[in-house]
Amino acid sequence: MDLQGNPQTEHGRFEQIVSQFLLKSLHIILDSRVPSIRHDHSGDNSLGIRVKKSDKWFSLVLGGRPAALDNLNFWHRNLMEPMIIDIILVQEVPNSSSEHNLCTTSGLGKYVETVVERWVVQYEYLKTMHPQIGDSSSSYKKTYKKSIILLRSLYSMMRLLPAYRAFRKLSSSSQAYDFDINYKVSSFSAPFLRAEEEVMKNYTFAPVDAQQGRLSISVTYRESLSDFNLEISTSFPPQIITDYVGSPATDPMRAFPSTEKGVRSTSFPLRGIHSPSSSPFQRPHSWTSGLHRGASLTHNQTLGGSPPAHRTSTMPYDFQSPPTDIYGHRIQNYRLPTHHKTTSFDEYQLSPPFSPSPSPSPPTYLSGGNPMQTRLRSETAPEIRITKNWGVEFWNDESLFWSEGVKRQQR
Amino acid sequence: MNCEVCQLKELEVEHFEIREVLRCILHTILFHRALGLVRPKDIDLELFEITYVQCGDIELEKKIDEKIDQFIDKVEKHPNKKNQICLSFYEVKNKQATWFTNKVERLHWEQWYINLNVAQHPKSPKTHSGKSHHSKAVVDPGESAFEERSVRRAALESSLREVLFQIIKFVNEKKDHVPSIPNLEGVSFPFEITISSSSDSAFGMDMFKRMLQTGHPTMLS
Repeated sequence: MDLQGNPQTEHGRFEQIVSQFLLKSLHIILDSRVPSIRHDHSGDNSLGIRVKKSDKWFSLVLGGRPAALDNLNFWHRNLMEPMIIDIILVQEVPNSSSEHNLCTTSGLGKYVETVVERWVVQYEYLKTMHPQIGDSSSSYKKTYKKSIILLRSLYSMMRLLPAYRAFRKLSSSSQAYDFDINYKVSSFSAPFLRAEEEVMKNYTFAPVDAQQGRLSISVTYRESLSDFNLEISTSFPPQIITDYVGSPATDPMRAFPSTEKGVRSTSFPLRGIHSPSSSPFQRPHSWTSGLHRGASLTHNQTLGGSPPAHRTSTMPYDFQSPPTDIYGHRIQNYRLPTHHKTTSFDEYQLSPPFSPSPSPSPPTYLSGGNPMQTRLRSETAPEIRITKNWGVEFWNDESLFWSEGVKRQQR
Repeated sequence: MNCEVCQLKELEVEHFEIREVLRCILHTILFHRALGLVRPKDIDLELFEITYVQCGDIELEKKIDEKIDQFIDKVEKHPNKKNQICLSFYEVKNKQATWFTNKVERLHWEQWYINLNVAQHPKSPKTHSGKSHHSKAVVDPGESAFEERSVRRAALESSLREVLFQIIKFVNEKKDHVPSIPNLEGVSFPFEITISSSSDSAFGMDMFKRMLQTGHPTMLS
């Protein structure tokens, strides 16, 4: 089988690079901002420990793969849509009345959510760029090399922006803080208010040229987080709240999520009300991790009650392409790169860990991980709702709003 | 192939700050140029609230520390205000076995200049003979020195951060000249670090010459 110069293979490779680029950026960003999904990297600094093939992409070994990445595979079907990652600072605002009223089901304390960073990662398709036919075999290699550099600088930049300090505070397990960091991934976002824009700065990384377009990363971020008074939580002693909305007591469908850091999670109780700013029902193409601190996005999460997988069959398919198409493609084409195909690049000895891709497939959606396995495992499969306005709302099974979603479907 | 040059912003440092500052800058540059497989290692500076990234390569750390030791040594022995460290990446060209030499040619494709102004302190500053009890605002000299130091420290932290931003900007804007990657792991390109300071006879000229040779054609006009 002729691998060199075959345009379809080239194109397939290129699409894998783009897809992996999105995954890697998401991994880098979440790893540097959201403590609840971060893995403990201590002790495995040497490269002697076997590195997973999928982690070798862009020569940047991050270790641990948040389940959020698998979620992305489900949701991000069109490579040309931007991936917008909002990093949200969540702060408790104390009730003016007495403390013990704070977390009752009827009158919860207010939670203020502020987007402190908005990352936009995108493959921009530029019609004006003519396809490079002559040197297409080397063009994706060049793109790959340049993407390595871009992702390195993204990694460095994550540590230089103001939100990093907040992340570090949260990550220090010795203290409990009165704030949390959450995230939201979507393909579109509501623009910032004027007042918000004024305190935010923008940084755009130089884009990487790619086939008929370019890969770009940019960020809008708050210049300073000093307004938020990110302090150690002293005034709200940890309480175990058992009857908040969404708990197993009020919603038997939902098991209590296991937490790693018991004290921390209880000091920041789950809330049962939506804040007006983040009602996911109105937003297709997005998901959020919910507010569980310490609820790690692992496959071990079990949900009491019926698995959501079969639920999709009862939903109206207003979707343009039949759903089976999505998953069918996925099973066939993309598995974990279990064998590393070292195509010999002439002068290029660094090869991306491509997974085998059959030639004639027109992949519009790609996955680098093993989404099918997570999809089919009923207790961990996220629910996918297909809505009328051509949106796929994706609910991470840790999302607090899952239980709301269940209720809605039952109506 | 042209050689890209980056002159990093000058930094005013005290002696004891040199090591951290140099480690931070050198490792940051190398992290962006080590395109082989790397498991990044986050390092928090002690003197500043800055976290930078290392490649996690022990050999590299040793090499860098050795060079820093050399630099500190030189600065102590020959105190100069202006000092410069050049981190240069090169490609090894095929050995030309001429009948003169068997030299291996190094073709430099990128050069980074780190400019450090090391504070030259006179011997211990004079202090007042005793604390003043006057009601007028006479500041205890110890206090004002402390304030000065923290102002200076904050300024250095801000400048160091700017330098890191500068590095990121440069590595992103100039990518075309980066050659293909020879090694699969870690630091992929051979590099060398050279130290020069204002006392060196050809210091200024050297820099100027290099800029002429390797600079953009428009610079010469």
